[in-house]
Amino acid sequence: MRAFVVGIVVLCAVAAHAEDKRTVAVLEYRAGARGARDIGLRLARLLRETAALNVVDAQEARRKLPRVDSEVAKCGGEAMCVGAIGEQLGANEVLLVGVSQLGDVIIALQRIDAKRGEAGARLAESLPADKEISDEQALGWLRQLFPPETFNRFGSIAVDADQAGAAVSLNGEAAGKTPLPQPVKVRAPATYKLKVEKSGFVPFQARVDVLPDANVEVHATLVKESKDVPWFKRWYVWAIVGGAVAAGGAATAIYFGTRTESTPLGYVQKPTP
Amino acid sequence: MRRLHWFVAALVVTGCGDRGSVTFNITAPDSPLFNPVLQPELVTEYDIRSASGNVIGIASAVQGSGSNSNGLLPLGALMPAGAAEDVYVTALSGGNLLGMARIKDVTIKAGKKSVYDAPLRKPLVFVGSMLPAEMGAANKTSAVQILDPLSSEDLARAPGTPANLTAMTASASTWDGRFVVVAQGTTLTAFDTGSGKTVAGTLTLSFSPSRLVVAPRDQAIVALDPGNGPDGSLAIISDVGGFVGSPGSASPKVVRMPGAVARTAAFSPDGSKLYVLTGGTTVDPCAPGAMPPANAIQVYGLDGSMSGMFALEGFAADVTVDPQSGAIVIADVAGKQVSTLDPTSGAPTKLLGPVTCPSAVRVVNGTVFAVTSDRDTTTANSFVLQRVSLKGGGSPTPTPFGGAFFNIPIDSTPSPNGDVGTATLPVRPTSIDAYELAITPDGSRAEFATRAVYNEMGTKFTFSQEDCTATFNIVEYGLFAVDLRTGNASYQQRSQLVQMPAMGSMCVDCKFTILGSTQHQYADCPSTGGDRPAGLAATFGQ
Repeated sequence: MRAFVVGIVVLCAVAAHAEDKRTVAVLEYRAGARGARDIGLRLARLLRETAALNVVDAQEARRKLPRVDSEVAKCGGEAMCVGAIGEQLGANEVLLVGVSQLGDVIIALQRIDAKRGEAGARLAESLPADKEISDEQALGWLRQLFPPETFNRFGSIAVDADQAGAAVSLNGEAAGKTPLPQPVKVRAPATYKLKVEKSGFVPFQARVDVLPDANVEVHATLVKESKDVPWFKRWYVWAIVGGAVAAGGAATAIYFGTRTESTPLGYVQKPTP
Repeated sequence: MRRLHWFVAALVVTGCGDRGSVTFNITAPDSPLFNPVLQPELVTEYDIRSASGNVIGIASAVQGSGSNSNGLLPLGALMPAGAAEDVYVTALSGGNLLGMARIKDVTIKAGKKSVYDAPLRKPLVFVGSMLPAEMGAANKTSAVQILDPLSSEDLARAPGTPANLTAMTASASTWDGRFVVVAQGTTLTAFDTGSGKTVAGTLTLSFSPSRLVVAPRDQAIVALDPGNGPDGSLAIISDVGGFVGSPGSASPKVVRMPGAVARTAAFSPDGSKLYVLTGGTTVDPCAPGAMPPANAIQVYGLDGSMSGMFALEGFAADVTVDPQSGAIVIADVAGKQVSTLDPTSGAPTKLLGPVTCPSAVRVVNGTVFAVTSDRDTTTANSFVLQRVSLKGGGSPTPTPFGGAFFNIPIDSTPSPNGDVGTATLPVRPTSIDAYELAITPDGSRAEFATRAVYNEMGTKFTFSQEDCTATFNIVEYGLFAVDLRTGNASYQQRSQLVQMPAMGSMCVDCKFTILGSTQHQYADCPSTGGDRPAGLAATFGQ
């Protein structure tokens, strides 16, 4: 009987790569068009779900800049102006979603570099006014606009062992020896077969599920090979932990004009119905 | 009921002691189609600004924003002004412009009570129609379009429309937006943008105006004579109020332009100077091989006296004036740029360039819009409308617009079930000339009339393993609508007229070999008769 394993601890550090990722603010402007409702929010959701990007959607943008909608409207599509709003939102770029109704509903998507205020890739689609837009269709537009690597999402696996010099492999490919200098960056979401082995010790094996932007920490304890290890010490542990971070906060400032007695008062008489 | 409103308003004002008050009395047209505030619940605010752009006050119109039961919205304390100034009133729904009014000579003074009527009008775009200069057996004019940019509806064809504007070859909005001056061939009349009807009476000129221009503050209407030879002329109507009341009673002053024909014109912000760009309207400066001679800007006073001239270094396709700063901006085709001109010396300063054939230019709220023949690199078969700040600095923002293409039919038969169609060779235009451009006053919507040219002279290509040669010259007229906030564009093709080869026959020649013998297979290019858009104008716009 071979004695083996082991204690492992698996932890997930959510948004481990968030600092490295670009932030895209998805802002919508509709010129009186009624079709394609909530297309901006939907595109933001799809980007968040499929791309390696931090996404600021319209709702979050309104929390940060309460007048963001009218500010975007005032920009009139001018890239420098829209880019400045993106910078205020802390975004690297803005995905401007324009919806207008020129007969058909026309949806234009324009990437704008926030810092340089320059317009980039653009895509326009014309749809019948009563047509519903599927997620697949919307995702197809995003894939045309953004380079393929944008949709490569990653997580990482940090492997630690009580024995130095143990060989670490993921799905059979060598990933270094303990102690690993840094977590191993892997495509996500995916499941990996982790193996930590050293001569004279029982190999440690686990299946590790890695979520996008998550860092899975694995602490492996290698047990010396022994024929006397009781069966109840064979522990196989793998775990999946996910998490999410939400933050929000908004403040609204209201400016009241001052009145002095030396100035006339102004009124607007609304038209009689 | 209305008297009660004013009584209450007076009480409110009286209650404020002797501070004085200024009340802007919003009025709206009775015609539902032409009423910009037909749905009052859509109005979010009334924005009151001076003509120079300074905010006088903004009244929130959303529910619970402080209006009293009589519909009196507070603007707060107003900054007194030393002199009377013109005021622009806009009704907004969020970021969308619903309606606008312009009021002359508003006085804001402590201790004085004033009431000004603000007749709101929609920011409409008018599109007329003319027969193309190019012959076409099926050429015919189209109905006048009165486009509501917000609803994308053509009010001229809407159910129950009162509009009776049957033809229009040139037009211009009055400064106050209440009328559009309309040319129908040699006759002039006025269209009331409130009632949706033309006023009674017409004025007949000795020429069919190619362009109409109205001076700021409605100081004059100027009609440009397209000329019939080397000399052109201008007709100046000084009494705009009299003209829109009774067009037939107006007495225009005709000013001759010896050796020059007007192409287009623009007024200085104070209306004292008219900058007339010469060169005539028959030139397509963007057409392949076109090399029009240098033209000039002649400066006229309202009395018709010529006070100066700027000789340009090359041909300019368009001129406009920024209503705020008075900067003169030209579309310099020869110099491949959009430039500002020094108003005293006429020296140009590049604003945008190099660009291919800038053919139309306007300035709205400090932003210069220029239609160019530059090809867009990201969108297939599209040209580019550029916009750049008049103050300079920053990169221009491109807005691609596409849609013009010519299909050469290939001899083929569709499948009986209709699933397999006929084959065509798509051709993209070589050049595009925006010969008229109208932009709404908030800069949200541009409509421009274009002359596209498809020009291939012995262009080689292969089709179905045959060596083919394309040789043709085709002119297409159309109308682009561009939502400048979203960048979305739509296109109406109005006519496609084959100029060469004659009758459009054998415009594509494909060679193939059978048993050592070279055979030819030809494709014809058919004309599609129609019209060309003409007389574009935006109420309150340019």
